[in-house]
Amino acid sequence: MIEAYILHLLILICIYAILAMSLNLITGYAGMLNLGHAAFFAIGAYTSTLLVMAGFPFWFAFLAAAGMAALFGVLLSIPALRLRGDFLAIATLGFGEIIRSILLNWTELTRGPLGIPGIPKPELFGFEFGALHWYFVLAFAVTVATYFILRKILAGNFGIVLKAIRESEPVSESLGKNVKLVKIQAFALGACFAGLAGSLFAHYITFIDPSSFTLAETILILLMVTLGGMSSLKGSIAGAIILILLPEPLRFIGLPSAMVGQLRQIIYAGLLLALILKRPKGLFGEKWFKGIVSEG
Amino acid sequence: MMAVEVKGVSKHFGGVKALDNVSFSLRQGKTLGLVGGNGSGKTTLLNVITKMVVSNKGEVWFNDERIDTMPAYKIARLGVGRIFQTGGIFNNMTVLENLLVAANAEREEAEAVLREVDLHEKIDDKAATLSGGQMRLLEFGRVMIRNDELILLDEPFAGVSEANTKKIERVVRKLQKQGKTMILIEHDSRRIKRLCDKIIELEKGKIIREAKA
Ligand SMILES: Nc1ncnc2c1ncn2[C@@H]1O[C@H](COP(=O)(O)OP(=O)(O)OP(=O)(O)O)[C@@H](O)[C@H]1O
Ligand SMILES: [Mg+2]
Repeated sequence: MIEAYILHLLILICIYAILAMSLNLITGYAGMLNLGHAAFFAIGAYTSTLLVMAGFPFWFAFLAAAGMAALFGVLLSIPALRLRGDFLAIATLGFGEIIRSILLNWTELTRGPLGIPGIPKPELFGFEFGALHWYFVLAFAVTVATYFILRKILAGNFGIVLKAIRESEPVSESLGKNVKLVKIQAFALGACFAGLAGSLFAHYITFIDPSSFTLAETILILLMVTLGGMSSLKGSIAGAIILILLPEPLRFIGLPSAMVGQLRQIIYAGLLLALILKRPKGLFGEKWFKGIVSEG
Repeated sequence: MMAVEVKGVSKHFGGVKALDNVSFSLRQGKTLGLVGGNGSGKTTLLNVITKMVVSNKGEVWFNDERIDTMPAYKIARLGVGRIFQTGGIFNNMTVLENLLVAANAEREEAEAVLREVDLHEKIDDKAATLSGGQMRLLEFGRVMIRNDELILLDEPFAGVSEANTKKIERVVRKLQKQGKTMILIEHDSRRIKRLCDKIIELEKGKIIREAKA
């Protein structure tokens, strides 16, 4: 029982670590405040669910979730990149709400607010990840792969160019960098990994509905990123671990569950305030919101 | 062959005429000195050539190709490099990273370029720790590693120490020997004479003098 509980938390940590790393790519490394990240998470979850339930193999649905989310990343970034700073943030926020309302209203496809129950556990080449510990192995493997792939990409020239664009777009252009294209790539890549997290989430929880993918979800991921530090993948993992574990003790002091939810929001808000005041760079990061909210 | 041709370019900011029907051309391998008082339009002219600013009228040609219709990054990829009057350095990045943005090169190649501008010992330092002159030298390193053909220099000697001024002048001469085409904005008339083949003077956005140096 306690083992199951611990594995459950570990699986959630993996899923949120992927989400936080992918948002960090867009908001930390590429400097674009994205308030619609939960939409990419949702697109991955629904894509994977609908495909598997239509009879496609899990591996295909898993990759399609990444591909579909990446596609929406490109779709969002093309109009959004005409905007900067606060306006970009509002556009991404709108995008998140549009996706959520599509999921709510396209009931033939998504069953709307009823959600989709009975999502099967993943099966890879005849092996079923039904047992909790095997699901953890799968989620952990995807998390580790995400970390190393992103680290490799960001340590190379792409990472340097992102850094340069964050400092000065005109100077980057004058050195031959196609700033728009690089930003679209960053959006697509971040969305792609959020899509993978969505697939992992859907097949783990086995039930999805639009209420799992709200703005509050994006804020939680953003808080993980800022707590760990902008432009630090390790920080994002640490942020996910801390914020998943932090509210857990509340379960054991016998509060009614309705209150636990509200208390969690208060804890998150308090933490955000404490961060802004005491540790604006996060735990590991090189910078915090500087240059994102105010300048773009 | 003409490397640069500017044909009837005008640019106004609100009521301010920053450039007013400017036309000139520059042969390949030659250096043009661009002079004029504060606010006469010198930087704006470089901004129009590199498309940092979109002109209201006129055309810009580089190596017989019209470039004013292209986005800035494409112009840069044709081999047009620039040293900015201010803000051309990525302060929060290392000296090496500043070069690697310009060209996807190996460390060794970057180190060799840095040696030419006397910054190899600073390769892993934050660019923000460099002096004004060293920042300029780093920008020269960037145009060198990109092997730009046309180099636009916006007051590269302004506020630079005596020692670094000498180094920069040496680098400019070296680039000239390699056959690069340059436009140099500079206030010191003796230096203009030393380094340039041709002079253009701007006043309120108009060319008021065009002469041999
Ligand atoms: N982005 C801009 N927006 C508004 N006005 C501008 C802009 N850039 C330049 N100007 C105006 O255009 C005119 C020409 O400016 P420019 O910077 O080209 O002059 P300059 O010859 O380079 O001067 P300096 O010697 O001071 O560098 C000035 O009146 C300036 O205020
Ligand atoms: Mg100027």
